[in-house]
Amino acid sequence: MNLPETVKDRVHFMLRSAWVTMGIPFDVPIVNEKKEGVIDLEALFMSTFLFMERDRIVTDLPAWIIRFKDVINHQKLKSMFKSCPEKHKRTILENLNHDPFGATPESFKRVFGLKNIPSKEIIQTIERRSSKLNSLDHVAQTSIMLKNRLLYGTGFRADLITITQIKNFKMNGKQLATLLCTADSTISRILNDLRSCKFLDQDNERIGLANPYPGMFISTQTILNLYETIDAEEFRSEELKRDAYENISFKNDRFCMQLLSSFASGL
Amino acid sequence: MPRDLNKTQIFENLEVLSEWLSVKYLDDTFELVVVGGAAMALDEFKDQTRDIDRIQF
Repeated sequence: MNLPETVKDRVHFMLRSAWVTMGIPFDVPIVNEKKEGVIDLEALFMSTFLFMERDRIVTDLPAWIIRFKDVINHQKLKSMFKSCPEKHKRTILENLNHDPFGATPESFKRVFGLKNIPSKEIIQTIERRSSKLNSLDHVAQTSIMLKNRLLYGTGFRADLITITQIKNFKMNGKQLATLLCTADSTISRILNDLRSCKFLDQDNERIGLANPYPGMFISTQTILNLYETIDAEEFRSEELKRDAYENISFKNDRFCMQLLSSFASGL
Repeated sequence: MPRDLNKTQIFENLEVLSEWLSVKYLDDTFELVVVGGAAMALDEFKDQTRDIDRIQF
């Protein structure tokens, strides 16, 4: 990865901030979703795995996965991983090849084909780290996506309801399916249900929505943008580099908007 | 509008394409086959054809 160290440091800092929102006690400010946008949990996982290094996150994340396994949408995570370009898939698998991830539940290990078995010492370390995590009650107050999963069940229905809480989200079914990394038919069926019960109007707008969220902080778009950014910095040709940056879309991705505004020129 | 490319320009384009492939598909191997008008230009024929060739392997 040719990204400058300053950029990688910034990515690590921002990802840690997002994990504070999810209840991991890193020493960085929390992402306030009401101000900065909603964090998609599975997109946060993928972004983190792409940039993960050998530090505390390698034990804290397995502890989080064990504690919060019921609010992880494994199907969505699997789709995101499957759609990942081969070279980035390899990076993710190398980064996940740390022993602590062997202690995660089988449902999680199956997504990435992890086979490692953790030692007794690692299990004890993870248990110690687990005691530092915030409670589910607390995380449900800071993450709207997790709150909705607790309300409506861990699935695409809950995630779609989360998206409808975004101000002027104005997306058609196809765009929603892409954003949530699921099949068009799944979104179509849920949209029909939500219109039938008058939760949404005929334009898929939320009826009587108060206190909307400003946008998405981390979403599927963030992962795509991170792939493009990594590739852009590997091009020697200025033309290819410029084209790669032009492929980046900040709609539904305030993470990269903040990240790239601090280093990429000519955007 | 299609335009004639000289030998140098064709090689420059091939270099850009090969760089794109090497970054996007790391570790994969590609064989670039130049055909049609571009191949004629590389063989220094004076008049390039400008039609679009559909190539099937």
